[in-house]
Amino acid sequence: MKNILHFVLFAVPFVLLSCGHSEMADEEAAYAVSGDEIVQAFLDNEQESSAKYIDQIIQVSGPIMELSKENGQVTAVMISSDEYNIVSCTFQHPLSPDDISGDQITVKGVCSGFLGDASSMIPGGTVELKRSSLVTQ
Amino acid sequence: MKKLLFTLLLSQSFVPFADAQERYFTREGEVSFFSATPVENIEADNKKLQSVIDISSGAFEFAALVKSFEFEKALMEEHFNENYMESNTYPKATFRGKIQNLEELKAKGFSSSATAMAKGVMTIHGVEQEVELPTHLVKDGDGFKVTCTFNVKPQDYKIAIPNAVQDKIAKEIEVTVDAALNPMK
Repeated sequence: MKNILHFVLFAVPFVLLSCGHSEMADEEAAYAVSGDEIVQAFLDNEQESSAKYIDQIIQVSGPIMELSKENGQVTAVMISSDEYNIVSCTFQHPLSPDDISGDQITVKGVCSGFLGDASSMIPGGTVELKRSSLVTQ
Repeated sequence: MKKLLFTLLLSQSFVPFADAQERYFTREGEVSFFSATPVENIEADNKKLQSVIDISSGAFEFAALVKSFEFEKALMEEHFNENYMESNTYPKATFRGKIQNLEELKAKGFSSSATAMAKGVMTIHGVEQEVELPTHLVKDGDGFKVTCTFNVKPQDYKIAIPNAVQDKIAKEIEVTVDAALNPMK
């Protein structure tokens, strides 16, 4: 009995704390929206959109504004049709540049919120997705 | 007339950071933190730090979403957001301030030999604190490279650490900001 108790007290928390993140590619998105649509939703009503989207898996489509690369691999993408209102996504696993073709992209990732404040010098608004994966149609 | 033109051109060449408002900006800076204790080291990073500096006035800001910090372990990330940072209530961490010794930096051509002193307000967990951040602000091509490392005491920002995990979380957490700022169009 003591052994079982020790297992529950020590091994279970250890296993839970050691777990990594689930694979985004295997997850289903709660919402599918365009990049412009989700940024506009936050600009229109940040409180309501935060409640709706934050911590949810969101699938976002739109024009590629910028790809970020480390060691030749794509680690992040910015989706936007204008310069200052953007969906900024980091990939869970770096991608080969060959995985991305054309000027449009669809990704899904966990929405971590919106950065944008009219009283700040920081321009525009950014919706952030983390642990994103590329969605191939 | 030729002499006057020559003098004007020469004087301009020695004041590359003159009066015009010049802002530099990034959405892809990195902010990371490291908590070291004998029991456990905890680290996380966020590669979506936004930062802007106005070289004509010295105004300097950076901001990051707390939920954009990524941890290797999922449960640790959950505890960080839910139990300590309460990031649904306080989603952003920001610094807004001003470089105090801008003229000295300009005189030294924003080289790595001078340290910028950024003084302003840091807001974490909804708590504002006046801080001074020694910052490296170095001219880098068309833009600027900004790096600074500072310590944050959770108690200064009313971040409650339960007794059960106090020996696992450092009293002072080292935070590093690293950003390459490009001219704002």
